[in-house]
This record gives sequence, structure tokens and C-alpha cells, in this order.
Amino acid sequence: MQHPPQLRIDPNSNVPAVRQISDGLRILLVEGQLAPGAELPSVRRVAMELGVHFNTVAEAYRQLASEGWIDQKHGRGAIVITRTVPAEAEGSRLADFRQRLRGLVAQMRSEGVPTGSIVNELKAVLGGLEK
Amino acid sequence: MMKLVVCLPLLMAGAILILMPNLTRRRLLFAVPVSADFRESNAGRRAIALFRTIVALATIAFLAGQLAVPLSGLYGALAPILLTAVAAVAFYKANRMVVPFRATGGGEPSMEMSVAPERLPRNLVWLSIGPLVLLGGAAAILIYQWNSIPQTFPVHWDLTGTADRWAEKNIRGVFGPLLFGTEVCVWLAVCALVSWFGARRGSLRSSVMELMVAVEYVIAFVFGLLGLLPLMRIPAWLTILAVIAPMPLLILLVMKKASEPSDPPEKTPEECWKAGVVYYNPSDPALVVEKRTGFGYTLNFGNRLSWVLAAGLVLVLVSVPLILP
Repeated sequence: MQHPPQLRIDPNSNVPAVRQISDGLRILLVEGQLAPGAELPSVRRVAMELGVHFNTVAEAYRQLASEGWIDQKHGRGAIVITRTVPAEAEGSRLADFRQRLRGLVAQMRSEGVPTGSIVNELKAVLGGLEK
Repeated sequence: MMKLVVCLPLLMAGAILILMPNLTRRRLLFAVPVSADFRESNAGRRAIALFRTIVALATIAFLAGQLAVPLSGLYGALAPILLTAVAAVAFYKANRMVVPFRATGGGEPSMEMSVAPERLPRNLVWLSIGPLVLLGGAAAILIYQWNSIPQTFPVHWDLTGTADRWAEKNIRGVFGPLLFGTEVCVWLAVCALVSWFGARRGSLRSSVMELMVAVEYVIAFVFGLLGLLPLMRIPAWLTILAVIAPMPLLILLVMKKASEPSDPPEKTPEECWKAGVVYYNPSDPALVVEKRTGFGYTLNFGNRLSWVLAAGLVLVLVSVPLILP
């Protein structure tokens, strides 16, 4: 039996909880671990399990709904929907993403992660996308 | 003989305090999250030894005082309180020794993104009816034997075993202890439900529920026995023994649960803990969180509902002189 996907946050991270939740869910959505039709737990339950305020989870859900990943049902959780793939990102957006990736790689190197491990991590991430 | 019997509560309090590190999950020590093997390290052993030595010496001193002074209810009541105060100081000292070894990783909040409903363990729901049946059985005996109950009967004895309070044959006088036992059992059942639905999902929840049901049985046994006072004279020493005798079983049960391999302790923000005992976090929707000391849950006082529960406990305490004869 396949285990349901896990969402994890780090309360000691400098990244705000709302971003950790939306980023974590986006990864599960992009990698297909949360497929169209899957039901997400209610805002109340997610907030309870992660120990964050209801508004934090509601904001993360709203953000994903505005990106077209989920459909929010009033008073209930949310359902993953089939997302229309947006038109190819403009060159300026790609440059922005590249800059963020370089920043992340630089941070990993400055914190002592060997280059080989960084390459392996990036390959693992890409592998998740190709599934 | 009576002196030795009145020493038992103090002895029991000392034993529970000395065993406190074993009544807490292995990854928590003196309110500090630590690695699973920290207790076996030199620093861990030193902190535990310091705490136990102070508490053991204080217990021996208070016991000697108990045996030296004439039988006194005041000393009997004050000694465990003073012993707890000494233990609190020892706890603080041990906590300071452990803080530098605080574990930083593990226990980050995580959850399964599934909408599977949570169901109460069916066997525990059925088992929690048992204490009420026990108390109901005692009430049935009283009703059946109503004509054998004298118009007045003793309900309290002093330390020499002489009756010093009587109750009359009326609803409160006869059924008071059973009603109070029922009230406490219902209160514990509410706490068990709160522990289930107000806590984050994890293996700790069912363990805590099992313990709560076990405590309900002890309460029902003690008050069921006291409830039969109108029909038979129960010596004071037997009453004290009835309260204390199930304690070692409960302690062993908690020690077993605490030593079982389990998930890392719940990661809660350090700044929300006051003295490692009181948790206040208005941003955390959980009604109860894992205790840092002892086994089980403690209230999140940042959640308004926790004050309703605390008020419920006050009501139970206030009802003592109103219900008991």
C-alpha cells in the first residue's frame, strides 16, 4: 500500500511558514504525488498538525488556488484539479529562476555541501519531474 | 503501625519523583529534548544522579521527621508539598546541566496529506464504560441494602483511627462518594477525548488514552470502596492502602510506555515554554501538546478552549465539599 505524501515544515527556518507550506505542496503537485482529483485535508487540520495559525494555511491554499493547482471548497478542504499548463515563461522570468537556482547552489556550497552531492540532488529533483 | 501507614504517601511521592526521568520519554530529559542515547552519556548520568540524590535525601529527611514528631495531619499534608518544592529546585539544577546538550534535529512538524478520518480506538471506548459500571454496581448494592444502612455512619477517621465525621442516611450522605467518583471518571473521559481530538496525530495519543482509562479504573475502585462505607466500617489504613496500592502498577505502565521506541518528541517553539512546564502559544491551534516532563499531554494555554478545560478542573475541586458528606 502506497503511503500518502508527507508535508513537512521547519519551525526554525528563516523561510516563513506560509511559503514553506505552499512550496512543499507545490513540489508534491509538480511531482504528481498529489494528482488531480486528490482531496487535500482541511485548513484546520493542516494548521493543527503543523502547529501554525489557520490563516497561514488558508493563505498557502489561496496562493495555490490562484496558480490553478487546487479548487477550494468553502468550509471544506480543497481538491487538486487538472491545471492548464501556462504558456512558456518569458526570457526575463527564466533569468529570474536561473538567478534563484544559482543562489541556492551557492548557499549549498557555502554550507559545505560537496559539488558532487549538489549535482546528485539536482538530478534527483529532475528525476522527480520526469516521473 | 499507623505511623508507618501515614508515611506511605510521602514514600510514594518520593518514589514517583525519583523515578521522574523514567516516567518521561527517552528523548526528553528535565524538559529538554535530547538524543535517544543521551541518558547513557556521562552528562546525562550526572544530571539524573544529581536530581535523584537531592530528592532521595529530602525524602529520607521528611520521613525521619514524620517518624520523629507525634502524628499530625498538618505535617502529613505539608511534607509532600515541601518535598515537591525541593524536587523542583533539583529539577532546575538538572535542567541547567542538560540544556547545553539540547537536540536540534528531528520532530519537525509533518503530516500525511490524506483526508482519512480519525477514529477513536474502539476497544478503549468500550473499556472506558467499565469504571461507570463498577460505580453503578456499588450504587446498586447500596440501594439493595438500603434498610441495613444506619441513620448515621462514620465517613472519616483521624490518624489514630477514631471516627471524627459522620454522615446521615440521605442521598448525599449515602451516594456522595459514588457521585464524586462518577464526576471524576467523566472528567477523565472528557480529558481522554480532548487528548485524542485536541492533539496532533501520533503514537502518543493512544498510549495516553490507555493510561487515562487505567486511571479511571483506579478512581472507580477507590470511590466504589469508599461508597460502601454506609454498609461496612473500612479502617483508615485500608483506605490509604486502597489509594496507594494501584500506584505501582500505574507507574510501571507509564515507565513501560515511556521507554518504548517511538516518534521523536513533538517539536514546539522553545520560547513558548515557561519553566519547561507551561505551554502558551496562541498561534498553535493544538489544544494539548506533548509534555516536556512526565508522560502525556499538557494544555496549550494560548488556546482559549484550554481555559474552559482548566475551569472544569476547578469545578471538580469546588464540588468536593458539595458532593462528599
